[in-house]
Formats: sequence, structure tokens, C-alpha cells
Amino acid sequence: MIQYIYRHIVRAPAKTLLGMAVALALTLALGFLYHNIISLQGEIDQLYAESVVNAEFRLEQDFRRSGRVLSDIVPMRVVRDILDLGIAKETYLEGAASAFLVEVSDAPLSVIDAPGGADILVGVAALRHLTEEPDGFMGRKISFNMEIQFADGKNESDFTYIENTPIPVVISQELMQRRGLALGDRAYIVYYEPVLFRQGEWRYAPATVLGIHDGAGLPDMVHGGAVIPLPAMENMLGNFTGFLTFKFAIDPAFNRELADVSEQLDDLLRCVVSIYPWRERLAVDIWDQELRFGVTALEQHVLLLQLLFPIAMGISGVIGAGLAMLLLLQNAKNAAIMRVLGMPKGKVQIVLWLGQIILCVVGGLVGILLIVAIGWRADLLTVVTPYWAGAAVGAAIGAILVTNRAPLDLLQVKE
Amino acid sequence: MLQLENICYRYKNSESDVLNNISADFEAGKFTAIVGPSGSGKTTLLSIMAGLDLPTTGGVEIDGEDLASMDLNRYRREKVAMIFQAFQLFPLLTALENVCYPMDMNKTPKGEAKKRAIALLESVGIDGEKHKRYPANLSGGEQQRVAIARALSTGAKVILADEPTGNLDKTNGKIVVDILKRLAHEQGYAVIVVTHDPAIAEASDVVYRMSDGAIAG
Ligand SMILES: Nc1ncnc2c1ncn2[C@@H]1O[C@H](COP(=O)(O)OP(=O)(O)OP(=O)(O)O)[C@@H](O)[C@H]1O
Ligand SMILES: [Mg+2]
Repeated sequence: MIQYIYRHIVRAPAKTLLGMAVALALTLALGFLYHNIISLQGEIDQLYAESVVNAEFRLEQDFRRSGRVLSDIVPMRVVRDILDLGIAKETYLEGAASAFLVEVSDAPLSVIDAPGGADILVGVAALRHLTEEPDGFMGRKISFNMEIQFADGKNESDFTYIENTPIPVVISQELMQRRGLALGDRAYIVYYEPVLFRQGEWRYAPATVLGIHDGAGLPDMVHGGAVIPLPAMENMLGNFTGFLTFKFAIDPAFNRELADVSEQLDDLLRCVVSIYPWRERLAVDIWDQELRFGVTALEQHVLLLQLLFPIAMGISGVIGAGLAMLLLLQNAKNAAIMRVLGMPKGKVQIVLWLGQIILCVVGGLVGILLIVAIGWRADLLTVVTPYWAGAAVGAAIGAILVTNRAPLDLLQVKE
Repeated sequence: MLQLENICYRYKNSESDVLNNISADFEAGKFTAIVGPSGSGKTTLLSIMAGLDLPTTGGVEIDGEDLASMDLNRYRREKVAMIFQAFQLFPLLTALENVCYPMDMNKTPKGEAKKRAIALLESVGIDGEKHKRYPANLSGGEQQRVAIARALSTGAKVILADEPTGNLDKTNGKIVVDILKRLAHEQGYAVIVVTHDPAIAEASDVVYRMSDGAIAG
């Protein structure tokens, strides 16, 4: 009987092509949808995996502009705690401290009476951070055109802290005059080392004047101050180091849990504020807008497609069922002849059903091959099954309907 | 050969009997005509003789065997064959394939089936050139002769024909009737023809006249 099924398929090309083409088209349509869903999800994953979100601790009022006192800066404790959370991948810190910068000839311990009071020290990791925003961090754009004049034979690369050697300092013109210093001079940084629950102690660290900055663009408070390597400052003040700026890049592994991260940071801030009440103006910003917008746009797209996909599956199944049934019902007369010739009902049903299903299977397989050839990413079974299932059911219903009619009703001429 | 005993038949959705206590004996070697007005139940009776339906009451026997206890599909494959007014060949199969079809169903070896089909087609006057044609490319008379060849292919000895000449002109009608007669008289088939054509009825060995589901006279 397979031979006869084959003949009916080959000898009715229009019907055969219709049966195959519709299966092919709907398989392709579902494949295309699926591919797009996967692609968009891939883009979302990539966005999450590759976006670098920065966070920044700041005072709610801008310290740099308002010239607040130095107690209003980010305490070391906060920095430590953040680093302990393990969410920061890279950090950028600017330290700040008040100290006296004095000539070597001055007695270090008489500085309290120094003219002009204490000087402001700014700790940075590299001098270029004074003139440009560190790589990879968003936030305030600094556009200083500060110029630095170095001591003879010195340059930026000498701005490093080596233990037990004088700390390189870049100072303002004003400070240089006030303290009677010159490029290349030896000096002392005299600072008060606080000690918890006890009176602190005055200490001093040898320094050397590496260069002079013109202060252009620096905030008022720092304008007249001195810049030293951040490690030097941390070495001096330890846990009492405070920071003007604390930015960090969040490890992309946490990009999907930024809400949690934000909560954690807020918790941490609350905790800090409870210990240092005067720091209640401390706030943290997470610069995740770009990631959020990108992801939201893509997710809406995916959502739409994901909503559409089951509908498309349903449509595919319904069309498969409808078409298979319609095409099969056209075989009513053939079915009647087969019955008259003595073919059992069940066998007639199988023959007709197979004749229809083969078309759908071939059409679907061609669709699958095309999907593979084009390189669409789609679950092949998911894409083709709705049509096949629909067609199988539709053809079965058609076969039952056709064989349930009385053969002679269909074959006799009615006048 | 084929005996009907007190057959009554009622369609499932109908209120009255379409066939009413019909008894008849169709003999081998006889050309029998069934005539009667439209709606008198001739086709219904044929469908019962063809094993497409069982009578509501009464029995059908073939060579003394009760149809009710037989596999009706097998009965149709081996014992009876039908011929229709509209020929009812498979449109997508050639004349030869149409004749081979019932033999393939009966698992007759391919070569043997083909040989027999060719011989049968020749015997009803369809020459070799036309064996490969599709029904649409044959005349009505030729199609009916292919249908007869198909009816003969399985070796069934009872031939049931419902208005076999209804779609044919006189000449072709006569050719078909002559073939059927020859089959009865020369080869011992029981040929049963439902017809409106008085000429056929007159020329037949036995005539049953039906009216209102009963055989009258
Ligand atoms: N499937 C059916 N269901 C119910 N009644 C039917 C069915 N088929 C036929 N009948 C009725 O049975 C009666 C006999 O019909 P049948 O077709 O056997 O008549 P007929 O003698 O063959 O007529 P015609 O000469 O027109 O072919 C009619 O009254 C018809 O309406
Ligand atoms: Mg009739």
C-alpha cells in the first residue's frame, strides 16, 4: 500500500506542494521567532556579563564645592566594608587629610603655631588623576587644565611612595611661599595621629617637594593644598584615613542583583551612620541607568516574542490540523472505493492518514534543514512539533470522518 | 449462490423499514436485473449484498455460509465485486494500476497480478496502449470496462452493478451489458444489475421488481 500512497503524493503535485509548503512555512516562522528570542536573550546575557556598573560614595552636598570640614569625608571603615563585600572589582580612591608641611629646618613640633594653620593633603594614586577622570569610572567629568612644574630631573613617575624614603609632594605656589619651600627641597609632613579613646600624637614624616601645581580647576579647599601618593597617606593615618572620593566598579557577576547590592550598600551606610552620626549626609550612587535601559528595552522585546511564541505555536497547530483535515476530506471517494474493495476501515484510515502526514513531515523536515542551514538558533523539535501534532490530529479526525460515511452514499449517482 | 432470507433493513436515523421482508436467490450463471422506481431500496439492497451493511433482521448467505458470521472485509475482497454508474476508478491510478489494486490488497505477487490485470483488460477490450492511461483520459465506456476488469481481478464470483450503463450511450451501454452477460453465461458469475433500462431488464434471465422496499412479483 505504501506504493499507492507514494503514487498519490507524486501524482497530485498541487496538493502535495500545498501540504508541504504550509508545513515548511510555519516551521520556518516558528524557527524565526525562536531564533529571535534566543538572540535577544543572548544580548541581555551579554549586556549583564559585560556592562561595568560604577558606584560612588559621596556626600549629599558636594564637599569639593562647599568646602566642608574634613570630618565629612568617607571613612576608611566604609571602604574596608565595601571591599569585604566582594562586589567591587576596581576601586578609585582619593584621600584627604589635614597636616602641616614644614621645612626641615623648622622644629617639627612647633607647627601648631605655623602661619595659615593646617594644610590640606590630598592623596591620589597617580598625578594624572588630578587632570582626568580615572579610566572606566563614570560620574563627574573633571576637566582641569592644571599644570605641574617638576623639580629638576623629576617627572610624574617619581610620584610614588617607597617606604622609608621621603614622600614626594606636589604643592601649590601659595603653600610654597607660605612655608618658604622650593622645588626639590626636603620637608616634613607633620600630622596628628588620632588614637581611639585616647589623646592622639603628633608625628612627622620626611618629604621632598617633587613639583608645583598651579591649582587650576581644583576645588577651593584643595586649591592651596599639597598632593601626595595615596599609599603614603594610608601609611600615615591607617584606619583614620578619610576619602574625598570613593568610586568602585561593581563586579559584573553582580549585575543581575544590583537591587540587592544597592540594599547591602544602604545597610552598610546606615550602620556607619550609627557609629559616626555626623556622616549622615553620606550617600551612595549606583550608575546603572545605561545597563537598565538596555536590558529593559531588550526584555520588553523578548517578552513580546515570548508571548507571541505560544500563540504562533497554537496557530501553527490549528492550521496544521485544519489543512490536514481539509485535504484529507477530499479523499472521501477514494476511501469509499477502498472500503468497497474490502479494505478494513482501520487500514483505510491509516493509509489516508499516512498519505497526509508524510507531506507534513517532509515539509517540516525541509523547514528544519533550512533553519539549520541558515544558522538560526532554535529548538528544532519545539519549532516543528506544533504543526506535526496539529496535522496528526487533524488528519486523524479527517480519516475518521471520511471512513464513517456509508461508501455507497459517496459512490452512487444521485439524481 | 447468494441468498437473501426475509431481509428487513432500517437506516439508523429513519423511522420505517427501507427493505421489507425481502427473500431472493441469485444463482451462478444467471444475469439478474433488479428494477423499480427511485427510492424503492435497490441501492440499499445492493449494499447489504455487498456486505457494507448487515440487515436489521433476516440473513444473507453466500454458498450456504451466513454473512453475519463472516469477516465482511474479507467477503468484499474475495466474494463480491461492485460496479457503479460513475465507474469509481481511482483517478490517480492508471487503468492497469486500478485493476492491480484489489490483487495487491489480497497480497497477490506483483508479477502475477500484473499479468492477470493485463489479461483482464485485454478480455474487456482495453488494449495495451490504454493500460497506462489515467481514468480521465479514457472514455466512459472504457472506464466502465476497466471497472469490470477490476471487479474480476480478485476472482469474486458475484458481481453487483448499480446502474452500470447510466452514464453511457446506447452503444457503450450495450458493450458493457454484453460483457456482463457473457460473464454470467460463459463463466458462471452471478451477475446482479440494478437498472432503470427496460431493455436490460427484458434481456435478463431473472427480473426482480421492487417497490417500497419489497419485491413485487
Ligand atoms: N443513509 C440513508 N439514511 C436514511 N435513509 C436513506 C439513506 N440512504 C437511502 N435512504 C432512503 O432509503 C430509501 C431507499 O433508497 P435507495 O437509495 O436504496 O433507493 P434506490 O432504489 O436505489 O433509488 P434510485 O433508483 O434513485 O437509486 C429512500 O427512501 C432513501 O431516501
Ligand atoms: Mg440507487
